[in-house]
Amino acid sequence: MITRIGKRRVDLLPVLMIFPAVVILGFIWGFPIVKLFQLSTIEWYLSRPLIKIYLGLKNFETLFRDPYFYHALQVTGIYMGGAVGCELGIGLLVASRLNAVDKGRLLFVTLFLIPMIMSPVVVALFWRAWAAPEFGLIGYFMKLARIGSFFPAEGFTGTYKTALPMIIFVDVWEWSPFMILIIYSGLQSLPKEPFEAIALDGANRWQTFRYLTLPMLRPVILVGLLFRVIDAYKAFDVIWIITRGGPGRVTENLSVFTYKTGFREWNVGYSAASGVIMLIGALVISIALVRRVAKT
Amino acid sequence: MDYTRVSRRGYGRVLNYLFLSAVALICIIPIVWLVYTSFKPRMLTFASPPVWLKFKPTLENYRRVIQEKNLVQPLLNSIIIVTSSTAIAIAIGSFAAYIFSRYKRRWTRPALFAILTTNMIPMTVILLPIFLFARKVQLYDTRLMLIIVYIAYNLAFVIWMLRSFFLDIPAEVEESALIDGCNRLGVLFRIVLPLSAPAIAATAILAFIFSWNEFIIALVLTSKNAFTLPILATGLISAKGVMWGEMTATTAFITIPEVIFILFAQKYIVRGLTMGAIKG
Repeated sequence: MITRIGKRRVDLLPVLMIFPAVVILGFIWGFPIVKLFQLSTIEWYLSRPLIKIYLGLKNFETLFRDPYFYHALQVTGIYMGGAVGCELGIGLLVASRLNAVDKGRLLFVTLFLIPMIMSPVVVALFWRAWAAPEFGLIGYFMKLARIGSFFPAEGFTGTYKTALPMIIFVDVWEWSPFMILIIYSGLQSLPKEPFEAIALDGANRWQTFRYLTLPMLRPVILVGLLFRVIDAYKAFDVIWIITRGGPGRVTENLSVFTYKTGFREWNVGYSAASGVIMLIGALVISIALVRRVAKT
Repeated sequence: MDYTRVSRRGYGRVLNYLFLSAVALICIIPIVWLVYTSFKPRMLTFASPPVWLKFKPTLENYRRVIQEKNLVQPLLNSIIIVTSSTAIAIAIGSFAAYIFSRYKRRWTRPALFAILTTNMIPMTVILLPIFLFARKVQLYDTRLMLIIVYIAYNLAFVIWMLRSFFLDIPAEVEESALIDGCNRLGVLFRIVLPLSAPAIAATAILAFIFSWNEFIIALVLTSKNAFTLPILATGLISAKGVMWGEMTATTAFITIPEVIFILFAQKYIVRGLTMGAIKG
C-alpha cells in the first residue's frame, strides 16, 4: 500500500497497523495526562460539582506546605527502600541456592511463581486475616513459639510501630520470587570459564561471589531493580485493602494519599496536583533507572 | 581426605534442598490455607486454638457467596471483561509489535519507549481524569469502559513481549514470501502468527491474569453493575467486620484458574514475568 504525499512515496501499511494501538494508548494514557495537568489548576469538589474555581499553581503551593503530603512521600521512600532491599537480598540468596542444586529446579520455579501470579487482593486479604488480633494465625504461632508477648494486642497491622513493616513484609512475600527468578535466569546464562579460572586461583566462595558473580550479574540485577522500584513506588492495592493507609496515616504512601484526596474527599484539583507530582516522580525514577540499565 | 570432602558436599546439598523447600512452603501457604478454610464449617473458621483436621468439609461458604452475595454476576463480569479485553489487546498489539520488530525508522525506538512509559505511570494518577470522563459519557459502571481501560492497561506489555518473540523469527523465512508479492499483512497472518502461536498463547495468558487480578481500576470505575471478582472479595469487608467464610470461597474462585494456567504455561510465564530482561 504505497501512497504519494507530495513528492514522497510513503508506505502506509505500517502506519495503519500501528494506528489502533496508538489510538487506545492516546485515549487512555495520553488524554488523561493532559487533562490531569488542567485539573491540577482548579479547585473543584465533586460534592459541589457546579463550583469550579481557577487557582493557577495554588494547589501546588498548598501541597508543598502540607505535612501529610511530606509524610506520604516519606512512607513511599521507606516502603521502596525496605521492600526492594529485602527482595534483592532474598533474591540473591535463594537464586544462588537454586542454582546450586541439580534436581527439582523446575518444581521450585513453579512453586515460586505462585505469589506473583496470585491477585494482590487475595494476598492482602490473606495477610490481613493472619495478622489480625485474637484469631490471627501469626499471633497463634508466636504463642506456640513462646514469643507471644511480642504480638501486639491490636494485631500487626493495628499499631503505629508494626503497620508499615507488616505492609512491607507482604510486598517482600509477594515479589521476592520475581527477584529470585530474574537473578536465577541470570545465573543460568553466565559462562563457566571465569569460574574455573578463579577457582584455580584459589578464591573462596565469598570472593568468587563478591568479585565475579555479582559484577557479572549487574545488568540483570539492575533490570530487576528497575521493575521493582517502579512497582514499589506505585504500591496501592495491598496497603488499601489491609490498612486503608492507617492506623492514623502511618501507612499512607503517595498513591493512597492521591486516591484518598480524589475519591474519598472528592477534592479533584488537589488530588490532580498530587498526581502531577507523582507522575513527574515516576518519570524521573524510570528515566534514571532506564539510563543505568542501558549503560550496562 | 577425599571422603570428608564428598560428605561435606552432600551435607550442603541437603541443606540447600531444605532451604528451598522452606521457601517454597512459604510461597504456597496462603493458597493452601485459603482453599482449605473455604471448606471449613463457619463456626470453626477462626476457632481458637485453630482446628486443623477434626471437621466435616462443607460447601456452606460457597452456597452463601453464590446465593446471598450473588457471585455469579461478578464472575460473569470478570470473564466477559477480561476475555474480550485480552483478545483485543492481543490483536491490536500483535500488529504493532510486528511493525516494531521489522521496521527501523527514526520514530520506532522513541515510540517503543513512549509505550513502555505507560507501564511506569501510576494508575492512581490517571484514574481521576478517566473517572470524570466515564461519568460524563455515561460509561461509568459499564463493562465496555473496563474493557477499554484493560486493553490499554495490557497493551504496552503485549507489544514488548510479542516484539521480543517476533525478533526471534529469522527474517529469511519472510523474505521469500515478500518477494513472491505478499505484503507485510499477509506475511504476518500466513507466517509470523502461526510460527509464534505458543508465544501468543503465553502472552494472552499473562495479560488475562493481570486483568483478572486487577483491583484499583475496577474499584474506581464500577459500582453495582460491572464490578469484578476482586471487588466482590474486598466488598466482604464492612464496618461490622469481615465475612471471612465467604471471603475464602471468593478468593478460591479468583485463584484456581490462575493455578491451572501456570501449570500449563509455566515456562513462558517465567519469560513473560521477567520480560525478556536477560536479552535486554
